[in-house]
Amino acid sequence: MRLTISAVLFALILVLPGAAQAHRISVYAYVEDGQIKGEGYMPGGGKVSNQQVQVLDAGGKVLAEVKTSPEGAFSLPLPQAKPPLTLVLNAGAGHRATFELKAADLGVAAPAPKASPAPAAAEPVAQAVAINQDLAPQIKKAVAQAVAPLRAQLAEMALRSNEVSLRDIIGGLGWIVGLLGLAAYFKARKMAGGAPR
Amino acid sequence: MHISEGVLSGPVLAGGAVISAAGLALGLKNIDYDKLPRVALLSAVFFVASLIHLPVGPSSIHLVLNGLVGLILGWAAFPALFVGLVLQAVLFQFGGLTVLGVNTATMALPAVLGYYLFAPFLRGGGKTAPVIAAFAAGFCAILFSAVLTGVSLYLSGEAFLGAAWAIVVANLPGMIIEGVVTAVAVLFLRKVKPELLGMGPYVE
Repeated sequence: MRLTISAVLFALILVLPGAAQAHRISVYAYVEDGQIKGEGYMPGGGKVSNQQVQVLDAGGKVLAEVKTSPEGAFSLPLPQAKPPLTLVLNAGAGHRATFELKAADLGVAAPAPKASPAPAAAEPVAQAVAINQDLAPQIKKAVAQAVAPLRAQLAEMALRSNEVSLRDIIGGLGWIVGLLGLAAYFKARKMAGGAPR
Repeated sequence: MHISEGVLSGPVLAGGAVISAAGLALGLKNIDYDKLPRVALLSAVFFVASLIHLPVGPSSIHLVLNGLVGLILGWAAFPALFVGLVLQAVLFQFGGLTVLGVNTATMALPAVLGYYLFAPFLRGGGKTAPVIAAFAAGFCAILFSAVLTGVSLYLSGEAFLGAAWAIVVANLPGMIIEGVVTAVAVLFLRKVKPELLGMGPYVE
């Protein structure tokens, strides 16, 4: 009876939000303005501060290295290499996390319109391009502002994905019960078969 | 103390796998029909305990309870911890499948050692000796696990000897907490389910 009560209490502790988290670090990053920016997360929402982050190319060669700030953030210039790039966060004591930046994440820019000697008829087009180039910094700024909340949401999701869900815990316990049943079944068969009656 | 994938060198991974395979074989031999439910129960305890984080200072640590598992199961701690670690690796990406051998060895070897060193004191009379033995079992299990983790990282060229020692120091609060939790659990089990500790029922 008392065991049952403590089992229930145990389960309640698990359900309490924030009580259950994986002992696992993670890293999230994006590319903006030719910079790789990102953060490293500890289980439970903390940040991984003052730890090494490496950027590897597809072949595993180290392209760049940086340390996370005390707030867990890091940024470094985007190395000139063919995507995909892999970010490796190494927090020591055997804790390691990776994040892959694919070509699409790198925002590989379309080649800039070449200033070719345009025929007279194309004059307005050339002008439009020129105006566009004047506007480019402003457009960039506006887009950056517009996607800022999205970036925050993505970072939040990266942080959340670090948490252990109750569903997974119950699932794991179910596996253990199932294995117990399987083992008991075979042991029982062996006993029944081994004992001559 | 769950070492992540891609940190350890090949020989260390292979060594861990060999040790764990041997421990698993010994442990499975050790499990008879009556012991089976206890193994499953403690496997579940370990599986869940690792998910509970206790805030300590700026960081947090989680329970392992390999000391308690070892005290009750002896060599059967190997299969119990192995099953828990497989599920943690598959469901939560705790550690990983290639590191399974090393992680099982670093957690189960101290558990078995604790069984030989401290379990005999649990069945004795009195109250002080069992409590001290249980505390020591919980404390030493984490201590040795930390040492073994440090050694595996050191052998992989991942950490210098100093960094390996830092792992031991960082786990010091964990050792004390595990010791206390193990002692409380053993006291409770002695009262409620003494047969779990290999004692006849209705002692005291």
